[in-house]
Amino acid sequence: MAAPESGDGNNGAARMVTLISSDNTRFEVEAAAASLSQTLQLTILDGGGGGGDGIPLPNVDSATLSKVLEYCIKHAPAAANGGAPNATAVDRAELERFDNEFVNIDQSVLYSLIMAAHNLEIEGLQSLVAKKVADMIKGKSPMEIRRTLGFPDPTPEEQAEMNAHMLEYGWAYE
Amino acid sequence: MASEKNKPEKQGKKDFIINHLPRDLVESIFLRLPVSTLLKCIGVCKQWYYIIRHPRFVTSHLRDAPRCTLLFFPQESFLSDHFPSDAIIFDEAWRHSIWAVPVIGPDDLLCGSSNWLLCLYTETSTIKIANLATGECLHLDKPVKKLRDDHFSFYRFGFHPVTKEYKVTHFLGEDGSYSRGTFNVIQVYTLGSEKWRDVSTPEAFSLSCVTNSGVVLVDGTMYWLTEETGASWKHAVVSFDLSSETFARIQLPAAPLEGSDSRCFWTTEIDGKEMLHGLVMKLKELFQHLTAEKIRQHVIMELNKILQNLPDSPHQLLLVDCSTKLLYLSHYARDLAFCYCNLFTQPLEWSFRLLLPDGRSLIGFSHCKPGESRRAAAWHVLRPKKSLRWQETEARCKCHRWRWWHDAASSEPVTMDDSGFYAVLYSSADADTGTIREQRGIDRL
Repeated sequence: MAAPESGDGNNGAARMVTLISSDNTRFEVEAAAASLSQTLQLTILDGGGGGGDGIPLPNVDSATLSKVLEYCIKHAPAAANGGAPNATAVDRAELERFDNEFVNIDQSVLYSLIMAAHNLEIEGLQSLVAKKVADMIKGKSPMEIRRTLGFPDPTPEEQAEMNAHMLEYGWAYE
Repeated sequence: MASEKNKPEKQGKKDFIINHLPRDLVESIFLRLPVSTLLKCIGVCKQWYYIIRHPRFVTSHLRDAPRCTLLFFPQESFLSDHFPSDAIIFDEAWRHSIWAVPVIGPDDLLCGSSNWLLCLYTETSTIKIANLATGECLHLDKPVKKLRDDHFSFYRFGFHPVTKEYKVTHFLGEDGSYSRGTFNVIQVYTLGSEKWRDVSTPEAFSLSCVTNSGVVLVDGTMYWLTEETGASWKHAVVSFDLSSETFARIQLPAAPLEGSDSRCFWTTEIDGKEMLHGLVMKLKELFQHLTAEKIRQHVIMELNKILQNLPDSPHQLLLVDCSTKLLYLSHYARDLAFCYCNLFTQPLEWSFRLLLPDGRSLIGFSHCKPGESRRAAAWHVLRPKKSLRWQETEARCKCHRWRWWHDAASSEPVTMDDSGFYAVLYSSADADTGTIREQRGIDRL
């Protein structure tokens, strides 16, 4: 992290903020990382979150928040560089590797993450998760999609509808 | 923490599936899927069906969708083989799609395309609006039934980027007949509306010009050529704004070669953004008429430059200049040039470029000269520095005519090492039934 040269901080050291999850767990992170969230950035710019106050996040539980912050901390340096124009290929490859691994998680966690990313307005994270879910859908038949995404077994009506769909769009299946 | 979290998940969150996300988020996932996948997704459950079919989603998906190129082949016969109408879609990387959609009937002719919607002319009493992505069709009654000498080139289909309306237009011959060779009414149908409406033109325009040079659509405005009365070589461009439905006339600069055959004139669009008006002529004649030494030099320079770079191939080679998206030439096109002016620049000025021999049309031109002998058309798009072989492309392509051309043409690969160039190999275009037409559309539902 570019802490030593952080010209934007009030003090020389990186400024820290405290976030409080819905289940009252406190997380202390650098303001730069938390500012990846558009929502938090505004609060932080207003001087919130410092000292003992902390910013309450009633919509995000601690498990999800820790995951979100893991993402933010990793991505903060690149974001601070303004989209990282001087990032090396190695840096980018490393971020990509991190991202791929990061979303290699249980689906319910993915959904919690995308909700949190949406609420906190962390665009990069939201699109990362959306892309992951989209990749899980790609190239599959309706039935396979249902299975992959953990849908309950189709009711007879749903089954009939799916059959009708196959009849109509069978050509789309090569 | 793990135990505490797993428990409620096993129970309450077991069916915390994607459908419990807010609709915005589900849409943001769907927006990342291609149409081919979305077609399968609508079969997953009702909820998905309604999200994907919702006009709001379709519009957003369209906005982010990549542009594709559609190459349409009208039905025709080569020797004794009959080929029905067919089309190939290329993606941004010039790979063609592997799935063909059964929306194009064997005798359909293309009147225009926009955002993956095709407007197809049929011999029956209807015009077909086909969605290439979903395979759905809509039949629209022609404004006048059983019109004698009705022709697909009198119909046009366009999209206005601001009003987001799709409109089908029809040039109605004066007094309801085409025999007079002029029209003074454009019939307009807005998709989703009740009926055709008549829009009167400020004056009678030439129909043969429309047939010869075609109608070009740029940014929601149609352009076509018209002749000045009494002088077939004197042309003007007429524009028709699809939103306001008003006409305008663009006066062209005096042609460098007055008295040319009216069929030498054409209009075309480049990349859907620019409008060009051109005139084809023999180099020899051009030199006779041009005194400006500079222009001569320009033409000769272009000629030399191109000839130097041509690979030693017996085939016509056609180059597309990336800087201007323009410049075409064939191997033995030493005696033809074409002049053009860009209608979006002021003042209008003629420029000079070289062109294929025999007035052949090319990709990007919407028409070629009628009455030319029908010859097989073959063209091939090569990515720079990749030197795709014909076989590779052909093997993955379902279009049977492609195979035919492949057999007829050489299997010799054409290589261009100048990056930034697309090389297109082709031999001629068909004339009467329409021509090779390039249409660009956008992937959408």
